[in-house]
Amino acid sequence: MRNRSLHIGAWLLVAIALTAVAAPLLLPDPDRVDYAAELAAPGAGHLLGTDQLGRDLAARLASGARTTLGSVGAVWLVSVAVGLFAGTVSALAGRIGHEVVARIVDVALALPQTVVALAVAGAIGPGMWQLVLAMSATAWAPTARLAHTYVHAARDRPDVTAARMAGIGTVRAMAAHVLPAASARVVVLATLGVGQLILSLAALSFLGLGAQPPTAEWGRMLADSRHDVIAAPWLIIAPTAAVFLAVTSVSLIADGARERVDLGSRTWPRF
Amino acid sequence: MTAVLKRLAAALAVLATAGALVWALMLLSPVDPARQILLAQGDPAPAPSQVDATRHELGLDRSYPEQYARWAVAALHGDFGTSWRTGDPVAAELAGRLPATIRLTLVALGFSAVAALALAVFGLERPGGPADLLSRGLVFGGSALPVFAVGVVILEFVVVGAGVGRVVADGTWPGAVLPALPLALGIGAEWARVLRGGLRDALGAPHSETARARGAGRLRILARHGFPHAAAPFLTVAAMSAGGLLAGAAVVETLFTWPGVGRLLITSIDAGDLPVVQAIVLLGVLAFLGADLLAEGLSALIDPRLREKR
Repeated sequence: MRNRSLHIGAWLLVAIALTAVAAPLLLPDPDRVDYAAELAAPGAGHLLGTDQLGRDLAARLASGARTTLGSVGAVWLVSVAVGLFAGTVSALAGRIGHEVVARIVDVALALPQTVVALAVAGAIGPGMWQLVLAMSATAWAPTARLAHTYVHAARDRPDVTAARMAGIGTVRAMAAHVLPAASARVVVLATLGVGQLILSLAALSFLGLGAQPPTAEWGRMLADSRHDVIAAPWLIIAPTAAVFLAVTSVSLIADGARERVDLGSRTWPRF
Repeated sequence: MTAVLKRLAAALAVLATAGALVWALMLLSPVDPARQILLAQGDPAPAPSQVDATRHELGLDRSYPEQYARWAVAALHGDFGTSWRTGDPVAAELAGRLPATIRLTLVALGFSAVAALALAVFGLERPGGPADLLSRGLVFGGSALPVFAVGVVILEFVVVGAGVGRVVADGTWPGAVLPALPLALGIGAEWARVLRGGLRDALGAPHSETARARGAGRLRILARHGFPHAAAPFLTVAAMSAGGLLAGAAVVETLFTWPGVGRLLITSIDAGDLPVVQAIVLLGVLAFLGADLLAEGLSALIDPRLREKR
């Protein structure tokens, strides 16, 4: 019973990742067009049926999982690494350093992530890496603020002071006593945003601003076959279920993990 | 009072920075604006002298700070230059599209509010009961479903399949009902989750127990002790959903061919029409900042604890 949602979510994510990795060994080529098998129903030849170009849907779903996990993972990694680094530097660098970081964070927090992505797509054109870049540009701001708050408050904690008095340098004292707990909090906060991130990336790809053909991506797949969904309902059920399961798994993980660490009053306004 | 002024100044500083970033998008773009405008105005092969004259007219031969200052002053007057796609003023294009988007988003926000209220209160008093589980399941499912999938279901199965409503939307109030549903789904679920959490905290607090012990009715406890307590976090999240509204509107408007700003944005991105993209993006940032300020003000009005802190 202890933290059931963390376990279910983690197993679900492992299952999705395993499917994504194992698919090339077990399923047909996701990009292979076969006009003879257009809109084939799920069955023996094609596990989940085929799309309007006769491509194997199960293989495309798995390939789409690689696209989504890769791009979402990249943004998540940036928000953890850059957020932790910028927040720690801001907490330790003194007044001027803090002011610089804090002002950049203020602006990044005030720019809606999807709006930035739309702006970048408008300026340098559509593409998955453009989206990842645009999403990363603001994704590190909330984590940086959390890391700053935590590290700043920990500077004068008795154990840190004691370590310093024992002759350990600031950097080592921080690395040993403060950073492990700070990174746990940053990881949880970054994970809390991943569900929304998956939905946003899929929606932007649906609009044609993300993955470009022939790359398989769940949102793009539905966009390309949306006129055939009445004749072939598996074309809407499969990608929707894939997005749903991916969002569900990371939401469960984030909910479960949030119960384990105290994020303070950072996410909600102070009471 | 000084707190309010400080907050306003901070918002203006952010807006100015966002403006600079939006202007700088022009530097990232590989296109020559002068040539592009002449092409859009119907000149198939503009002469170099003509391009240079337009460059001068647009001020593109000046220094970058000067260009930004001119762009910002014009933008403050509502002038975002000329569309590279149609050759018309951007402001006129936007003005024609804005009413339809405002209608769509207002209907969607109305749906979201009703759904959030119902889902937040339904089953609230008996945690773990069937009503509570159903409501929580709906909220969880609603927040994990992609907007575009729900939109495709409504469009292909309800509008095209069953013949309800119209395939080509006209941008009127009654036409907004079906497109607003997918937009309201994610927002409503998110609102319900936060509202429900806040209400649960409030009803479990000792002062609510006391009120109940002294014979206050369920409605009175909810209205007097529940909602004011849950208001501040709810308003914060409600304002944050304004940030996702533009992308959501882009999806729904593109699907339903709704004549609004979101579809114009996607059309402009596809056509590489940067001035229109800049104007709409700035509009999105402005809406987000405005919603944030409004939420903070309302929270302070409702919750006295937030007033004393600042």
